[in-house]
Amino acid sequence: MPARIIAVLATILAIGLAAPASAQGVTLDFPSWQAEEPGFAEWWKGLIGEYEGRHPGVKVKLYSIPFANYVNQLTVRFAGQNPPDIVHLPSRNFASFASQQWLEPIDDLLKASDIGSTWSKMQTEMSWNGKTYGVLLLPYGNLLYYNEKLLQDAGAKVPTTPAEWLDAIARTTNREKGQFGLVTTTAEHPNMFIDAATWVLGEKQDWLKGSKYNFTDPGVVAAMDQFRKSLTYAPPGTNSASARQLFIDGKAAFLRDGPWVWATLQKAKPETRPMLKMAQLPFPVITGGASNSLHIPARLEAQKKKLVWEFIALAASPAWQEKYVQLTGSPAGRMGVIGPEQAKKNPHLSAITLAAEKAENLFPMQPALRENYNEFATLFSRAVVRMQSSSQPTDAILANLQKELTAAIPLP
Amino acid sequence: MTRSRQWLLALAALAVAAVVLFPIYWMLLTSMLPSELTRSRDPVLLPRLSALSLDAFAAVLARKPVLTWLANSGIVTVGATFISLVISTLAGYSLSRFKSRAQQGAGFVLLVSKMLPSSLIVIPFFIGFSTFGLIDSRWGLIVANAAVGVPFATWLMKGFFDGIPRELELAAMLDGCSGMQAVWYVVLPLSKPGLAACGIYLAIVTWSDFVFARTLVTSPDRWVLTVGMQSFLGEYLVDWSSLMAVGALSLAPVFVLFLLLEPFLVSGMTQGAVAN
Amino acid sequence: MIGRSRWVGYALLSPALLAVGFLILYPLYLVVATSFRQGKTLNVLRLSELPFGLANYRTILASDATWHSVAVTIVYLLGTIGPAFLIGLGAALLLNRTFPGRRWLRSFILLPWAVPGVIVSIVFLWLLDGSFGVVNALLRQAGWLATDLAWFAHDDTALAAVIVPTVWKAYPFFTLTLLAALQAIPASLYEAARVDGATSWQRFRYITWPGIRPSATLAAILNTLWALREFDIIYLTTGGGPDRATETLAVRIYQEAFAFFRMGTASTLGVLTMTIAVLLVLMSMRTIRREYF
Repeated sequence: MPARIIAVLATILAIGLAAPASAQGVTLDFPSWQAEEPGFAEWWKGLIGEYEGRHPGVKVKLYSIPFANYVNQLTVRFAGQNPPDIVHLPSRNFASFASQQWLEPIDDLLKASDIGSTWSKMQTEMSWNGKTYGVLLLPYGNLLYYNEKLLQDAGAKVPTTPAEWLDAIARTTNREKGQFGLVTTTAEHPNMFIDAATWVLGEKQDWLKGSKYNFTDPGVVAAMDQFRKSLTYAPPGTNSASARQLFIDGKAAFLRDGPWVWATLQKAKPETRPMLKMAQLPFPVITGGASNSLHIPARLEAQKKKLVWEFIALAASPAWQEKYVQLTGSPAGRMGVIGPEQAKKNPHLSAITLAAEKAENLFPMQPALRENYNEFATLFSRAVVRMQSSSQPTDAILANLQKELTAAIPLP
Repeated sequence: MTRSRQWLLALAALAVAAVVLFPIYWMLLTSMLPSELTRSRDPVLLPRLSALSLDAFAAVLARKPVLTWLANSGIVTVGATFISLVISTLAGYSLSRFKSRAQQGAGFVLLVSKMLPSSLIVIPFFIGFSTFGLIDSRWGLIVANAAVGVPFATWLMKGFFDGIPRELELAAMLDGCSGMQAVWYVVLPLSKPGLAACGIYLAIVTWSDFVFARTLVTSPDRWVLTVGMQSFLGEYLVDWSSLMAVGALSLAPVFVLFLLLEPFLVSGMTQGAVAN
Repeated sequence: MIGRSRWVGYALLSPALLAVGFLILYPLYLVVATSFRQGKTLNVLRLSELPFGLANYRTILASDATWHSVAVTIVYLLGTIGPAFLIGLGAALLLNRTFPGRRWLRSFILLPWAVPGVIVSIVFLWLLDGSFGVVNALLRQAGWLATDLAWFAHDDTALAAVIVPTVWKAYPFFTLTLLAALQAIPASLYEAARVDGATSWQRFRYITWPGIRPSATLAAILNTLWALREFDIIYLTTGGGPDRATETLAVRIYQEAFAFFRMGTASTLGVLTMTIAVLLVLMSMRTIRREYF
């Protein structure tokens, strides 16, 4: 009897572990958080389809790793010397990877292409230590999404100044009904830096004046105070995914986010969808930056490196860049891909392009901060959490943050 | 004890079970209700049966390869449990029957093995497995989980073997059995509760493993349930009904296993306690 | 043993020794070795390029953040093991009696132990959701809560909020071991005590407690070591926040290694964690010796 059980178990194991016959040709490993994101998934799959058609015998294995975990996962893989073949990174983390010498410089490959002259100005952010390491996919400016019906019901209008925005947020909040004026990241997360930047850099205040920490500047404190006030109208303990979900469910009046949310709005219920609209942020300065980019891992064998570059080049081609804007509703790296008829058919594209062109980069460019972006954003987000849960005055919290940053990431 | 007293105790136990299992109840309820009803300020604790539906389950099964994840979890669990049981039974028997200095070391090793933070173990494992080509393979997970389970399982099995008198083996060998035959035909059948207890413990620990599974396996077609579940958490949008549905699906197999085999676990631990 | 050489014994032990050697001693060695390498890198295979020295230890031991994590860890340990033990003991005493339906109710009461950490986190994230969670709804109905309390995102409540699911997952282990120990106590002892007129408290103190104390201590040690390493529940619910309120040593180690790319200091924290674990074990050495080999 025991012998029979063992035999059965062994058979199950053998069947389960039987490796499928290894595919002929090359497989390019390509994890991405966008593999299932509305709009982006279609673009990637289309691109892969054409690429595989042009390269018989080569397969691109695209699969999803959720964004919250993405950078950590990739870090472990690079650390264990098992990086993906096609490296897709949130651009804010690119510098830390480059500083570990995990990415391949591509200056010579870029020279042979037309990317240098036709690309968005934010492509310069793909440089580290004098070399270029990647191709920018999505330069963006932040946008204001709002629920028209909730605004009308509360007698608020689409804001054009920060003060009007705060007023509208206050008016449209009604917790008893489960309705929030603003949804944003309220659970501790590095993204809080981006939310705060909207308010502070948007008001032309500079917290890194002349490459020195400047968090105690009265202008910065005043702007952060407004940001802090806005958080009191948002549901507590929310992350960015919950925030988007609440907005799509029609439970929130305002959402600040990037152009990628446009494609997600299609997932709203038919009765809610018409109410959800997009506008420019009500600030003198629109914040934005390089969102994500493609890279090649260092020390990749020559044949694979050539294949990966051809994939990136195809993605950068005018045809696919145009499809990028069409399918994702986000600005593409290549400039001028939206023709006039396109703009007429899809008015939201003009709004998105305008935001991207006007946007000022919100991510810090000092090398020390680029290299240690995670730590910087983490310390910053802890300060934001303190603003939410304590009654300490804003200037005290920011003074403390300044002290922590100066100790953790000294600026030359 | 009077009959009414017994019913009182049963009631008390029922109350405890109800409180303790409320989170599971809530998870099941959320998975069977549409999100408007659950994402409300006044959720209903006992909804009408007509409001329940299995839509979230159908949606989840269609959208994500949950069955693949289930199969992978099953393969890894069966493999790791089996290998670990074999290794631990041999080792437990050795420690029980062959008194030596290895014993003190063994207890020490067990404790030390429980002191290593998993975040730190992960990278050495990753490097070691890379060298042997075990990355992104279910074999790698099986080996990792089996190894991690060996210390505690060995200790458990040693306890059982201590409780089985050596005279039984001696008698069998005097009757003409070889050493191994004595073990196979006499000792092992008696230690079935111990094997069952060890087996359940190993199965539950392997089924729940998350850190190894997430680090050592990258291809989605080799993901296990815990990794698949966690992929829901970071998603672009969060839908509690689907989330709870996947949770319920992940729990079902291990719950069934546990409910069926739990008596062995208790009796096994009891015998071990008596022996010690 | 007749006809059995000692080598058979070692042969039987060898697969286990192999498993333990490669897969526990090797990481242990790597962790300790890395802790002496200064500098910022995640390239573990090129660690020998980094300078060798005690700088990591100096940084870690002098840093406030380290001792904050130690304090959080201690509160977390006491907060989980204490209640888990009491609940586990209560359940064990209850389940030691005979009553109808005991077999099934016992299975149900032990069930939380079988729930994977990932699922525990997800379920409690939903239960304790600030705006739509059922716990808040119940508290609001009872009149004890006026505002929306995001349990995991508020630094006053976050530590308590991660302790609850940990206790939920930990108490069945106590129930299991204590139940086994209780069943080993001969019923005749209780009979004799009852005849002598002892109260139930006296019976507990003089018969039950001495009988279960070794198992209780061992279970407490093992559970404490488990809680010391526990990562999944905290990481998936609060990530160590808000504002480091739930940043135990285990979470801090993960952050140092994977968020800030500092394997050296992460390993040093790992050595610190293991030192604490060793101290805890030494403190209860005598009882363990009796329980162990």
